[in-house]
Amino acid sequence: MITKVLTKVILVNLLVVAAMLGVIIVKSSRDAANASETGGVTTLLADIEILKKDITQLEEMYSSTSSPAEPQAPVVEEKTAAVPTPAPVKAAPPPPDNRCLITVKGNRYDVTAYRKRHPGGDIFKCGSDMTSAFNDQHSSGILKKMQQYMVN
Amino acid sequence: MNTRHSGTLLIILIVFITTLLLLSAKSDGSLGSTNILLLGAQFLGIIGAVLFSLSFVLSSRARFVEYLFDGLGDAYKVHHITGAIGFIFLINHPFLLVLKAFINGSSTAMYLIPVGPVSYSYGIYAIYFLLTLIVLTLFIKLPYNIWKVTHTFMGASLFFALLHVLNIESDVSRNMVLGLWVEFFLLAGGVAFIYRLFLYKKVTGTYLYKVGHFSAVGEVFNLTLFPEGESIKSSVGQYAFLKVLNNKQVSKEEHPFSIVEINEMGGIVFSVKKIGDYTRTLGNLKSGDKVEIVGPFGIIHKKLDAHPEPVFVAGGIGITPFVATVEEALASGKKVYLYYSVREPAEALYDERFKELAEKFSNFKYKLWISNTRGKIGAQNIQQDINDLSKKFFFVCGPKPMMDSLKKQLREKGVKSDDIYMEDFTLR
Repeated sequence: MITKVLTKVILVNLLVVAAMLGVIIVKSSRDAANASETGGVTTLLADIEILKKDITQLEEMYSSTSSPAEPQAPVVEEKTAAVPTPAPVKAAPPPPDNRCLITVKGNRYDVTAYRKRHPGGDIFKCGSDMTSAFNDQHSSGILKKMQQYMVN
Repeated sequence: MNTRHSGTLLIILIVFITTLLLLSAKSDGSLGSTNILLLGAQFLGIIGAVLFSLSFVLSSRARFVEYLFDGLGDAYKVHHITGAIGFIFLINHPFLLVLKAFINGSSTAMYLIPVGPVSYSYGIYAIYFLLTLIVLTLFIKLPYNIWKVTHTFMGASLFFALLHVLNIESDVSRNMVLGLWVEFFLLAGGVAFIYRLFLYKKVTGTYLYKVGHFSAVGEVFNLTLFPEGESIKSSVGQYAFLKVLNNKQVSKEEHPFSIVEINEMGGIVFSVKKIGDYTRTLGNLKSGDKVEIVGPFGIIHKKLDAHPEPVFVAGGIGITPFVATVEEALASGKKVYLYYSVREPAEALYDERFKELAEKFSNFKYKLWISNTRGKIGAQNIQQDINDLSKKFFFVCGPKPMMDSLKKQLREKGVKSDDIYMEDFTLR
């Protein structure tokens, strides 16, 4: 008796889920199509190109500082100084910040390295305030764990 | 001792504690700020996983399950219910997450296809396994032995569910008590699965018999098996699972049959009515065929010990568990009533034997009920002989509609449900 009722509930449930998933998938794919028309994917490709240029610039910068005439030690010094804060290198224009910084509850976090390990996947929108997305998925206790990534 | 509802109560308690643990994991104040769809998804996922795991324990045929649920019949009923509710919870768990992602405008794909983080993929595999196997169970009627093989793959779903829970970054990973609690049940489900698959036969007792006598009487045949090695030790009213090993005309399924009696020569007697596909093929059995017997199961003898005035009501082939039970009850001096309903006198197996017992024992009241002439037997027919039904203990075995209707009638006459024991063989 109960089993029969439950079987019916399951059938109705499955039909509702299937129908709503159908709607969601159709709508999402339409949105994706619209986005690509307006340049969604193109923008992404362009971003990648910019990043590639940035990397080449940085590489050039480092290779120029390590000229053969200079002794080895200072090069290392300069490198270590250059990585976290490129600002002190006065001669070159300030290189773009390649780090992925996000803001959560007013604090900025550098998730460049962490984004690959994040259990919820690489969902980071660099440079944005992700407080609401964070609140959706985490309890506030997790913020303590994130202190190690805090910058400012 | 009455254990009728202790198993069910235990499950309700487990679900209740799980809910409390989830709420306490949110007691850092994040309950209010958690998205309602996410909260719902977490609740469904966690409770669903616990119920799903428990359904494995319920179908393990372990002794403690038989004890907690007052027989395997009830354990399997609760197995169906927890399995079905668990499935409803689990299928809506990712669905709510998809809905949430859709409303937030973020990607729904990571909840639907296993391309994202591995912790999500485990959950997706678990759901797809579960979905396929539940559809096969509820909506596609496969032959029993094929269905049974497919149902074994539920273990894969449980395995992926465990990996999902162990890897996911959520309250189960952040709150140690909740995490351990949920993981404990998933592991218990896994242990039950492994037990049922690899240990159950050895732990329960498996015996090799061969077919001796084989005689058909109309739709019913009597089957006597003799032990090839060690013989099964059973109490009255118990049953065992039979599987015919080396007869190509009989399918290699296992089915439960009541042990009518064990005779002086060590032969174990079964009476089988050709009512299903399987029981019909059993008609092809030949003398010397090997039969594997797993058992015994059944708690009629325990119920009998506890009640001095048993009333047995049997319908058709449902007489089998009561033959030896009635004899034992009489031998121990109990006042025994037996109502035996058959459509026509020719169907009444063991009728002569009961008549002889009635002559020999003054404490035995035996009534053969021919339903073709007198209609279905009801509680009022029993009440004509027994003034106060509420003082008796009822054993009922027969076709499902008969058992259901009799139980309802007896309840209406003031018999407590704890005083009615129904031997139900829909064990799957």
